[in-house]
Amino acid sequence: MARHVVARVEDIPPGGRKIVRLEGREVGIFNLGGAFYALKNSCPHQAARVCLGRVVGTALPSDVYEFRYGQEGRILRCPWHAWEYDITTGRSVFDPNVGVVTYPVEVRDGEVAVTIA
Amino acid sequence: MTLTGAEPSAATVRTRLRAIDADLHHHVGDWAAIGRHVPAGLRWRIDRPGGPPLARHGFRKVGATHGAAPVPASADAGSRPHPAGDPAWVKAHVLDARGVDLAILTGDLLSLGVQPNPDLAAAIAAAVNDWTLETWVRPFACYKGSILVAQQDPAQAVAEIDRLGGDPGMAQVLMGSASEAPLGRRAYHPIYAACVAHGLPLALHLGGEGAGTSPPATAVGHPTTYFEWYGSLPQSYMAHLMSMITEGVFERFPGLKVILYEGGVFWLPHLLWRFDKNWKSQRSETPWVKQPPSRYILDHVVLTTYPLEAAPDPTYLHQVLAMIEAERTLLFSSNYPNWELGDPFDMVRDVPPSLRRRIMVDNALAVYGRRRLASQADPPA
Repeated sequence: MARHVVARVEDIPPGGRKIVRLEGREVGIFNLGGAFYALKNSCPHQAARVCLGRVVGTALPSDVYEFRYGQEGRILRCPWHAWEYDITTGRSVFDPNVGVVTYPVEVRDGEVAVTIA
Repeated sequence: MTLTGAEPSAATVRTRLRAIDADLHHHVGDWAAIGRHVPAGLRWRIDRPGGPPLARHGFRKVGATHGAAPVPASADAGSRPHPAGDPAWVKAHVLDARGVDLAILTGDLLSLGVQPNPDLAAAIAAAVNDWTLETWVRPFACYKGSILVAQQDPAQAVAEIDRLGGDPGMAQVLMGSASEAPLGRRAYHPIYAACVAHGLPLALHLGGEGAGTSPPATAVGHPTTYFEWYGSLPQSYMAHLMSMITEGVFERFPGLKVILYEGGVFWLPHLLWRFDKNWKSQRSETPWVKQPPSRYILDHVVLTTYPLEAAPDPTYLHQVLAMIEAERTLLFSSNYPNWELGDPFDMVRDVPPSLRRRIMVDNALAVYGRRRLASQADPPA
């Protein structure tokens, strides 16, 4: 278990991301409106580099023939097969039991740090 | 018939029934008698000796129409009585002879939903329903009817379901899978609401594909032969199922059960898993589809045994029955008198013993409801 300083806060502006390599795996750090999240850069489907995907919103679960688009800027869409994940939890939008591995992120003294368990 | 009284206990039903046939095609052919149930305005179109005008496709069976099904002896050399024309004869020579206690009647008018004239189609459906109750269901406790409807005018279909949905002689709503449009379309939703309101499953039966206002019977165009036509028909069910799931029918009507008649079963695993896989990538287009499509199908859709595919190795059948959760999704059906593809009891010979009771009795009780299958009348003495 180790704590890694991966960036200064100003290196990753809101809506931005940074991919780093930590202990043999790639990790994507995302800034959502000032809050930072770290996801393993590996889609649980077929190990695509999911953190390179577009950050979007999604069609929220709705009533029949109702269209509610939401969570703009919070959904990571895998570039290979368009599986969508909530960046804040890593969970897929279609099944809470399917998700990208997440890591704790801490901001201290203007530095962003990720802990690998 | 083993059932008597209005409310036998569940345990009684379980222990006494030997087999339930979900699909007995009683012959709808006595148009003079049927015509008596039609209001005068349209009766003259229906009570003719040849029956009403019905748009048909051009496909006819070759060879033995009824296979080795029992057939009544001719009264004279010139007559050929229909094997499913006499309810007493069918009871004695088919149900009693084969150990079947209860049969759901499905008739042989399977293209009403693609007849060009919606009013004529609705009038025929209502008259056939009354005639079936009068001649088959009321006198014989071993038969339950289907509320035949024509879906091209959903409002009249709903009215018919409301008219007869409370009748204890009716076990389900029946419409042809031959349809002007995919059955998930919202125009058809009132029919599903009516089914749920009356606690009736919706039976879809293939057979009218390519007739009347139907699209071509296959997705690539009209088949050439009966052989090609009949073999292709499961694609009709595949398209309707995909439509019903993506258009949210089972989200909107969580109580709806759909029975797919005579389409076989081996095609279903393909649909389950192709659809689930795609849903993970494409669900955002239909965000009301909240569960994997396979869950909607396995929780709401039931299949029938005739004509079960003839797999070259029984283990293939066992695998597919496991894939489709046949312990709750498969009903025995005789398809009497259309046994040109084999004897329906032979067809289920390779069903594992652990599933047999479910398929022959229990699943039908679950789908139709024990109360619906309890007989409303004692057989005549």
